[in-house]
Amino acid sequence: MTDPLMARWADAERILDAVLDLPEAEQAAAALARCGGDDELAAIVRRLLDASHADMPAAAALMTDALALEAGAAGDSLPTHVGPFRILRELGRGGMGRVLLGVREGLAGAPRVAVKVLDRPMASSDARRRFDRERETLARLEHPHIARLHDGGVTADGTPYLVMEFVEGAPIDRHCEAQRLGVEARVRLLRQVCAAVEYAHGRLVVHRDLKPANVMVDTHGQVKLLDFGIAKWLDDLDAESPLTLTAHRVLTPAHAAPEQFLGGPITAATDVYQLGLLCYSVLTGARAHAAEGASTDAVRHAVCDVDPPLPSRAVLARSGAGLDDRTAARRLAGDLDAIVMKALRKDPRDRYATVEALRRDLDHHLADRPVSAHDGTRLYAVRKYVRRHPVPVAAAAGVLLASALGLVVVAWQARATAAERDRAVAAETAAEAVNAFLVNELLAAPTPERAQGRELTVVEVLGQASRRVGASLRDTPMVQGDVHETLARSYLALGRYDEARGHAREARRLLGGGGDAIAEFRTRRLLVDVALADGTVKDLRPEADAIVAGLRAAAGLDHSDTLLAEATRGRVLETLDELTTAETVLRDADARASASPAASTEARTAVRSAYLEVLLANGKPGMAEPLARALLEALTARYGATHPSLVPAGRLHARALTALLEYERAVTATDAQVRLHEQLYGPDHPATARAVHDLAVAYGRAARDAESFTAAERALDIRTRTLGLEHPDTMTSMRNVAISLRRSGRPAEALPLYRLVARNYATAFGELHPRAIQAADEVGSPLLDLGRVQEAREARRAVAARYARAAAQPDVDPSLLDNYATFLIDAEPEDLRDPARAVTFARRAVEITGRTDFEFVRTLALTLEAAGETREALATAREASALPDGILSFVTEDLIVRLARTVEPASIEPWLLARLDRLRRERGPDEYLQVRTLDHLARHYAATGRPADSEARVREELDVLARTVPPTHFMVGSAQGHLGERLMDRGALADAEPLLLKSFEAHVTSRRFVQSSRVRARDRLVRLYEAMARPDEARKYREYVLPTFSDR
Amino acid sequence: MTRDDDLTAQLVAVRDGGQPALDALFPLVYDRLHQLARARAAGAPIDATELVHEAYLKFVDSSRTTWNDRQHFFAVAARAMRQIVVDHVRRQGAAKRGAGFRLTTLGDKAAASDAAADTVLAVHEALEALAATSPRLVEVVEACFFLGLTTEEAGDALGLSARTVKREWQKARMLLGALLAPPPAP
Repeated sequence: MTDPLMARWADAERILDAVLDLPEAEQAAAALARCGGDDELAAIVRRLLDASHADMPAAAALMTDALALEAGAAGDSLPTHVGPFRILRELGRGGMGRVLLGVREGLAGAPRVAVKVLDRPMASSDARRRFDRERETLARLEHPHIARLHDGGVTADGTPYLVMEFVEGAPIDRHCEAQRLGVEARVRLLRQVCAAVEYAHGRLVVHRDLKPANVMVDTHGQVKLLDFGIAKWLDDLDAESPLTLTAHRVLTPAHAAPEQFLGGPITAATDVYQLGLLCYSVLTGARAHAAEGASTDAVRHAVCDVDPPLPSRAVLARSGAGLDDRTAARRLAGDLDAIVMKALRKDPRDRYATVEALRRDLDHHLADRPVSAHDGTRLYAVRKYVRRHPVPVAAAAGVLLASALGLVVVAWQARATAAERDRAVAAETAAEAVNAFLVNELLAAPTPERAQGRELTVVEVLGQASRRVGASLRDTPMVQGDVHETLARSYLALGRYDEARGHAREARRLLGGGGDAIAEFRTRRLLVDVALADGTVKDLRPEADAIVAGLRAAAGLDHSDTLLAEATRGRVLETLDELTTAETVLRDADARASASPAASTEARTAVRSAYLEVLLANGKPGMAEPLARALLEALTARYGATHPSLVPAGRLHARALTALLEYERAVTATDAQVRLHEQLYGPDHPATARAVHDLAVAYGRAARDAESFTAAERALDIRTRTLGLEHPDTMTSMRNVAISLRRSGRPAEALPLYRLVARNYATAFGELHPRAIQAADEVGSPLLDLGRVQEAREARRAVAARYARAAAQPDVDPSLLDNYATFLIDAEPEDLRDPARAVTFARRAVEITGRTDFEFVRTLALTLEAAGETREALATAREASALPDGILSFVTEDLIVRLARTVEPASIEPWLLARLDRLRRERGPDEYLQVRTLDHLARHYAATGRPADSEARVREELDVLARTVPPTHFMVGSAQGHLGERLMDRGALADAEPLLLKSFEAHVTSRRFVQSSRVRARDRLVRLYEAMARPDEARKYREYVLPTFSDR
Repeated sequence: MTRDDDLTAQLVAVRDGGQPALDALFPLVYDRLHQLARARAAGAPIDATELVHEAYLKFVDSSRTTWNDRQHFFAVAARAMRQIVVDHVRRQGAAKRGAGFRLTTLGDKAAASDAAADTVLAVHEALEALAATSPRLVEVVEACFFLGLTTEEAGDALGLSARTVKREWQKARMLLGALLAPPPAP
């Protein structure tokens, strides 16, 4: 630098600093004045001041040009085009090649896309074909959380490339840190990731390179997974090349699963592991294993041999976190630690068997339900339980936990073992299948019905079929769809809901949108059936409605598929406790199914069964029983006496018998059902559990408490293992066990189960759901048994408050109001009762339903009775009885007689006669219910001085009984007692004796009688023998020690 | 594209580490900017300011950094950008003297940028000479000339008031204008 300017710059600058604040016109003079006669300096200053007016070189343009020359420098040059895509810039590069931002050339407004250029040429035409095939599979992955694969191809020089949706956003870990998301928000994002992977697994695609960089969160906060299936596909490419020795390579060592280092099979479990790593880094902000940049060997050692610290510890160990570390650590400790660590187990068999299981645990965690990651940890179950019941458990001490919860925990462990077995099937992903698949072979595979107890064989066959179907039927999607549908139904019948769901979804994908509307709706119904079976019913109603509407339009009202869909919808409604609606729509469907010659036996059976379920749930066994019997007969005629289709029909019949008070017969029928189920499905199947559950109920009704308890326990055990603790059926069983424990005089053991049931219902249905409140109400009963009156009062006060809150909801279900009203007249301790208030709510329920619902009207009558409004109560009870279902209710009949006795005794006889007439007219001469009415008439005549009329009615009663029930039925014994008494009264002692002896025998052998009538039966004999002057026999019966049965 | 933990960590270290840490940061930033520039499609016009913004978004984990760190990054980036361009121009010159095959493919554009290349080198040499005596002025030139920042942006990046930047930039333009103008008649 020879320019003197540079040498004197320091001096010149000082002068400039001094003068540049002056007005421009004065600057030159002031500057020169400061040069102090230094001419060289003066010349330099003048040059500088002149230059300020000169044009500065256009800096920006210069730089732009210079950098333009730098762009695309040697070795890294970006192609200007890849296929039909113009390249804008590079987005990144990874183990497989570069990712470029591109846009389709010549297409105005075309979206920008990510173009993935792979760094290896295609080895053979075979590889090329496979590439195309794989690309099609991946292109079919359509999920809101998966970046779409749009296109792909091979450039002129043989380089394969893929064109994918360009996701604007940030990798999930950066997103979480930048947004400073809390733990729950992070779990919700991870849930989305799992849902996407789950979806892909359902389509037999594994990711194998899940890492934060591949999990983007877009600008709407939605997860988008990149590069699905690419890793697997790259391996296939490499396998083509004879130079590639490894079966599969590790793309990203820090994110690899142990089996990826050790050469084990890559399966869905690999994705589970990588999801575990993802959860780990997203939740903790730290990596589970050695940092990036470590050697592959170091990473291999860390991944294969070292357990990472628990996430809750890791979060405290790291620095500069975006989370409030201590809060986060507390949130992570426990469930999330367990979930993440279970996903990260070294041995794939120890991990979650499926991504769905992992996702469910995240869901459970979010809902504060027990997570399966803790399976088998007794301590955990107890702790979780205690957390849900903070105060009461502590008070109840050790006894209850040790005994009652032991049951649950043991069941839990057993379930874990069952899960091991499942894994053997689930672990091998179907994507590995290579052999040709024979449709006939598959379709000839044993159906569950044919398996007759050989469930494992069926599962094996289905497993093989599942693995083959994707590969072999690729070119015939409709056939493939049918096969998937069959597989789904089979898995559903086997109670394997995860597999069933996967196949159902696949069937829907293949069969839907193909122009066959019926097939599409059929597969959608299949999905609803699966959801119903495994209890995920929450948002099912709109889908069920849509399916029915769609099929009605597409196939007509009487089409079998339409009817099947109506059955499914009815079951959805029933599960959601919308019983009135369910009954109405099913009655209509049942009428159509019976009348339609086009309806298949399957459709008729399905509709009728669903209808029967609802009738029974609605307390209308009288209507259900003949319908069930007819169904059973039709099925027996068609399929023979040992066919599986008899199972549900027979069960429904048995339940109808039970509800009709035919308890012993119901026990026999139900016991046979259990054995049939065991033969068909094996001892550990949800369907078998249902039969056992029914048996428990039947025993309970028959007052055989010990047997009832045993059966209830067994049902709970099976359900806990096969369905999980949260399933509604499991809860029902748990409630059953609680009830039978209490009835067996073990309230202390029953109490914690009652509480667990109440809590589970609240979690599953919501705090204000009728069932949840009812369950909470029931907790009071064992407390009262234990003499803990104050606690019971507190508990039921809380229940009352919940009822009040629920009743205040704008669209409250009338059945809740009904429950509330009943609670207000029945509650114990009695000081919680409020009949006047009960009337108000009962009236509202009646009005909402337009005075058409029998149950609600009857409740109104009962509340009016309790409130002392006897006349209105009587009128209302009669109104209830006049309703279509009212005729079946002897409780209402009893109520009317009771009320009339005080305010309108003269009306009793005409009313009973009218009822008798109506029963015979509407229900036929053999209707069992007339027995009760005849009984009332007989008693009424006896009490009003008309013994002859009374005797005539009792004889009539015995006639009806002889036609309708077996001679051992308790009502026969009861009526014989009555008749004997009448005969004795008019001195026909010899005729009375055999009747009174039979009646007495019935009273001492049947549990159905209350103790007071047993005493009466004995006293009648004593009186008889005294009147007959046979003192020995009189004394014998006077001293007879009556058996005691536990009273209800 | 993944963020760069090393770069972020080094940037954070500058907070406490002063000049030595800044010096250590320089090669990292240089490398990333260079990489970004080269990753653009060949011959595509690149705006230097946009390039640095992109680099910051891409490589720096903003959740771990503060506004000050961002200033440091831009200051270092300005210096790095100067170096990148100078290195490029020098290579270009060498290529012209040697085989020169690459430039010929660029046709007219290369000829048009010859003058620019000379200017860049002249400015660079002037700044070299001023580094010891007027470091602030050098920084301002790097930010405004090489990075193309406005005076306000440069003030942000350098932690100077806009007024100071304006004054420094005014002086710099005088100096550079004088140096690059044809020598004065004797």
